[in-house]
Amino acid sequence: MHFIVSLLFFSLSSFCKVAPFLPKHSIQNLKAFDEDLDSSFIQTTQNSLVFSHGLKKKTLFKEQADQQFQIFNNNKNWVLIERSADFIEDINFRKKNEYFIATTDAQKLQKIGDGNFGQIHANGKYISLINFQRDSIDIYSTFTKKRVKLISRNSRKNPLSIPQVKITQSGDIFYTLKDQSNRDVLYYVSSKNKKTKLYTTKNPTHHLKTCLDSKENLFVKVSHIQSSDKSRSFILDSSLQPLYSTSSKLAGNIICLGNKVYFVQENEVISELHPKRFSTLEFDLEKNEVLKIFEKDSFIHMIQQGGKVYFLSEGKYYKLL
Amino acid sequence: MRILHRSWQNLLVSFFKPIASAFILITLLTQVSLAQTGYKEALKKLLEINQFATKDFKFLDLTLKKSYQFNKKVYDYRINKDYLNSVLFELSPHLSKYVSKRPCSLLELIEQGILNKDKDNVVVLDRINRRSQSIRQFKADSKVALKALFKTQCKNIGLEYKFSKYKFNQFLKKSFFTQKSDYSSCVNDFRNFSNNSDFIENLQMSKQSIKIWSSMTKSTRKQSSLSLPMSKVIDFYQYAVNGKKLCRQYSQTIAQPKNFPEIKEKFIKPICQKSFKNSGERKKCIREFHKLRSTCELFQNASSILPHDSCEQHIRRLSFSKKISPATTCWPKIWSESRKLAYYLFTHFSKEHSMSCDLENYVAFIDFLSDGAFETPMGSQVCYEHRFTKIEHCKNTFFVDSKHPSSIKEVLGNTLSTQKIIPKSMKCNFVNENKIILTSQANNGCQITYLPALCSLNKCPLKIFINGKRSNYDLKFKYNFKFSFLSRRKSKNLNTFIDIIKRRFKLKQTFIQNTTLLKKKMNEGIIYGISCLEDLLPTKYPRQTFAQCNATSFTILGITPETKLITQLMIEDINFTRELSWEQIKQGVNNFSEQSKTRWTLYALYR
Repeated sequence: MHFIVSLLFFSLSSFCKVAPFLPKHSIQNLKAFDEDLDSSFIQTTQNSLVFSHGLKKKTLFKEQADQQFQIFNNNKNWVLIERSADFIEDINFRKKNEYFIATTDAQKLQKIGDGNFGQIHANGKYISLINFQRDSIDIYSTFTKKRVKLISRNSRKNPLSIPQVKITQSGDIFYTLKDQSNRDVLYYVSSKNKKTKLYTTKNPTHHLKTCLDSKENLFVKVSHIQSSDKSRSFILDSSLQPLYSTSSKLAGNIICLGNKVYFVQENEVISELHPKRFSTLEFDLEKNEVLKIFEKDSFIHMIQQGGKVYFLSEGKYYKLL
Repeated sequence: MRILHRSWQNLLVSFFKPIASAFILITLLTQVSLAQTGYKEALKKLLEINQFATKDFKFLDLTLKKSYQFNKKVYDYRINKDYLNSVLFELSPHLSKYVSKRPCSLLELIEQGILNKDKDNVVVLDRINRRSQSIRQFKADSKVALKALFKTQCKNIGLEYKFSKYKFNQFLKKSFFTQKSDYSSCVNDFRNFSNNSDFIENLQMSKQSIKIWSSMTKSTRKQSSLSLPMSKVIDFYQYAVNGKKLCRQYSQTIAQPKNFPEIKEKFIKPICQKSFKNSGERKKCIREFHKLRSTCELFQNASSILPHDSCEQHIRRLSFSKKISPATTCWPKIWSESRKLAYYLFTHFSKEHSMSCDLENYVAFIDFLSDGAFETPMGSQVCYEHRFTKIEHCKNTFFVDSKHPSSIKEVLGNTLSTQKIIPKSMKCNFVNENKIILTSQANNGCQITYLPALCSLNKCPLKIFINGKRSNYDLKFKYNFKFSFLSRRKSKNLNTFIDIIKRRFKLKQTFIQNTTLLKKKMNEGIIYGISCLEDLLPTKYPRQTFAQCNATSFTILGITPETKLITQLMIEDINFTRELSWEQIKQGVNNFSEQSKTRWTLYALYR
């Protein structure tokens, strides 16, 4: 099962998997979209947040001169709404935002807490908020709205590093932190609060990103980030064995969707064989195959929304078919 | 390898027959004999020459003029040919060329100890009895021997002049250290340079300078004009025989050759986060800096995005930067990126304050904001409830140890005394919590303590101790980081920072729409903008949601030869530059403009 499949790389190239994404609302105003439910969250030109479902519209936040919304919508039950007040007047990366959860039909809306960065987990059961001021990761239950766990980051040396947090249905937590040597460390905290160090990167030039698939298997992306670094990058499975290995950089996020894992590879050598600098790769866990599904000269952002994967590159959105 | 120039050979024969014969012998041994007369004999001879030692010879003191052994009327003296052969055996190609052009140079080199086999700087002489023609070998001090026996034959040596301070300074000016940039051009230039006879002079000069330097006391070194370039001389001497090694070292350490000492100093100071008390501290900092080339880990305590780029990348970018504002060497810890950009612009355009890195700069900035009608200049206030009226009073403050009326120790001191918590005569100190505990000071008076790691200029958790006891007086700190840096589209509010600084310093502002204009305006002022972080650093901050935008302000410091824009993001500490493309900057600025519903874009601010 666990073997390096780099030899299979590009065995089947598939470029018909991606199509331009042309939503009915302006892409600049669209904050979240669920194709199956035909619902959207839109920030209007007057800065109100509106939920749209078919012809119905509901205003969730009234207009205010200087506010900004981000919506994390990666499950079928809840969306996490980040409201950033004074978006223009307070340009501060570490400023505190407000976090709300809403049902995907926008019938319920409730404030859950304050923080700097938010993540809602795919199972819809837990939310993690990163708090720079307290230097902690706060885990909230979406049902009880109570903070169920607080993990001290103790990493004031790196105020701009954002930990990756993944929470399972049973409340087990995977998270990354920087250690004293600025290396990324992957920890596991069981629901009984037992903490285990799972993985440490070799040096500070490597970083970790994680995702959980539908069966709650953990996948880890280990990548170097310096162009001068010649060490290899990996995708590791839940037993931390390499599934995929490359000498290129693996840039950006890793997304788990069904039995597939998506990641972006930055090709160092631009030649006829590698005409584009960035490629989105799809790892099929059942077939043990890697497909190149999308290529661009500029960086490809991967966004998970309403159970679908979208790509953003050179100012244009695309969706995975 | 050791072929001599013909014109030189003729000259040499007339003056130094023994030396010429030695050269010829070597030439024959190494180039002809090996091929034609059997290499075993030649090899045997070569080994003898190589193993030539001076220790077996009796020392002849040539300073004793009336000595029996040193009598020019009785004896002739010459340099022992085996000794010469052994010296020439180890001659480098550089020296061989130099010697071939200048006959007396061999003597110079021996005199300066550059060619001596022996650490004691001795030369082996043949003493020939004129009557009997018997020959006996002695060793003698090389300088004394050459002066006493051969100086008349090489009148133009002029060693005193060559090693004078004037010549030394000339050498430094001419030195190729002021010219190089990268490894390959360094190697090429070194090759050309070392083929030049000046090279040997420089080599001698370096050695002499090092000798002088090491004989000086510390105090005389400080006074000496040699002190600054001495490290260069030592480097030069150590690597002079190995151009590749020299250039490897050189290209690793130097990126901005024309301004090398200045840039390096400016760059290293903030890395070590202190000013250098002496050259030892500076050297230590440089050493640490070079140890950590792969990732610039010296920045690990700074506010920066990890992993870092390499130190070499940062140095290289700085070398192409048009703007290295003195303000960047004393970046304040300000909890707000828009205030950081404001501070950067203020120190750049404010002539009175841009040249110093001390507290006065911050205070001047705060006063500037206060005059600009910002209600809370640094966004921080200390609030208390009046003892009798129970009404809340708030006062603006900032967290540095200053006598400024808004500094925390002045504001708190006044508040505590008006509330009769402390007597009027008592003054408060603003002190590091880690240090105050260790001193008796803690038990006396009013101490406001802080932890440096948690503090910025405008945010700082505090504790108050009065006569050694923790005060439980109910004080509240309010932090309001709203700061109108720029105008909104429909707002006519003139109290944005940009409007104020434009008015105060009579600045102009232009919209930068292309790289041509960017290059032009970069020489005239500061290029700045606000962008989505996800566009500037997508690999580190990839978007997770649609239209995601974390705003950050930035300035563009310069352009690399590859037309990348050297960008200083305000979320990162000083000199932590990034190389970004024009497209990235443009996309990021446009996205911020759309998300913020402003028409804000990339601007140049200039006089």
